[in-house]
Amino acid sequence: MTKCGNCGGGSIKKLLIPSYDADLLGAPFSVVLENSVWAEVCEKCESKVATIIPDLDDLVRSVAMCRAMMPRKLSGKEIKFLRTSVGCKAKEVAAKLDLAPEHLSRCENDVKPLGPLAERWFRLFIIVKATDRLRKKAIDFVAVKKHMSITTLVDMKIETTWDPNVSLVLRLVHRKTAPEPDLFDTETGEWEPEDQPKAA
Amino acid sequence: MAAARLRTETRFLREFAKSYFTETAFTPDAERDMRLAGVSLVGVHQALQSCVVVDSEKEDAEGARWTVEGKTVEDISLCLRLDVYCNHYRVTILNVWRLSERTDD
Repeated sequence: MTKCGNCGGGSIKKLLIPSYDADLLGAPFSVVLENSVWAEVCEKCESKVATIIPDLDDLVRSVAMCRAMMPRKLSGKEIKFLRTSVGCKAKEVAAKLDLAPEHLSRCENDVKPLGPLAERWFRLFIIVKATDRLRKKAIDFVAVKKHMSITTLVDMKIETTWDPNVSLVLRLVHRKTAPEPDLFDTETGEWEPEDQPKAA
Repeated sequence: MAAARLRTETRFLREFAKSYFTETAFTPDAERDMRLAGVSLVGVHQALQSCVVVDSEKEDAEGARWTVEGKTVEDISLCLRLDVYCNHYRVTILNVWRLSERTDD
């Protein structure tokens, strides 16, 4: 796409967005992408033509992994987001957690809380599913491993109380990696936390 | 969901969405549609991975405009309109509807 569809004549320029609120991911917490998202803007009429998010699939999995490694207890909406972000149906996850699908549904709707042991297994399930996909894509996920380990998860004490005024904000940055020589001649990259995940 | 009338396009798009979607581009209209329909980018991406291309129009310029239908992991049926530039490995999401909500054509 080289010409603006709105005014018909303007050329398109790409602008890097310093801080992009990725609310369209559907996460029930805030996800901010730092210096990673591009806006295509018409040089003539200055209208935005498109927003470009790199590597959406891995972004979603990275967000899921980051949240799974944060100790704050998962809300129902977060459980649902994490499950869908790794592409799993409720029935499949319920079976893995030895829960009735109805029970998981109640947990996702905040009618019942997910028990601490089930929640730990659920977090592990999310991390395994997400990293499995990253491995299949042959991405070097050293950066991801740096922030996440099974030991951390096993030792994690799930926080059941927190200041309601403190909301979760995940800040991620897309770092470019070297192009794969035998595939397409296009840059690839990986998502990683801009800093340690923190509440803000 | 409509039958796969455009098998080559369907196969291309599914494989592209599964393996080599290096960037996801969406227009302000698509952004508005997603908010109105309560559909996330995650759902749209899942729909693309299992989609069926139901219509394809060649553009005057490079690329083609495809209409596709697909389902999210939550079994929400979506209809998407896309600009596809095969030679640039680029897909731009133009519009998104929940399948039952689409009112035009």
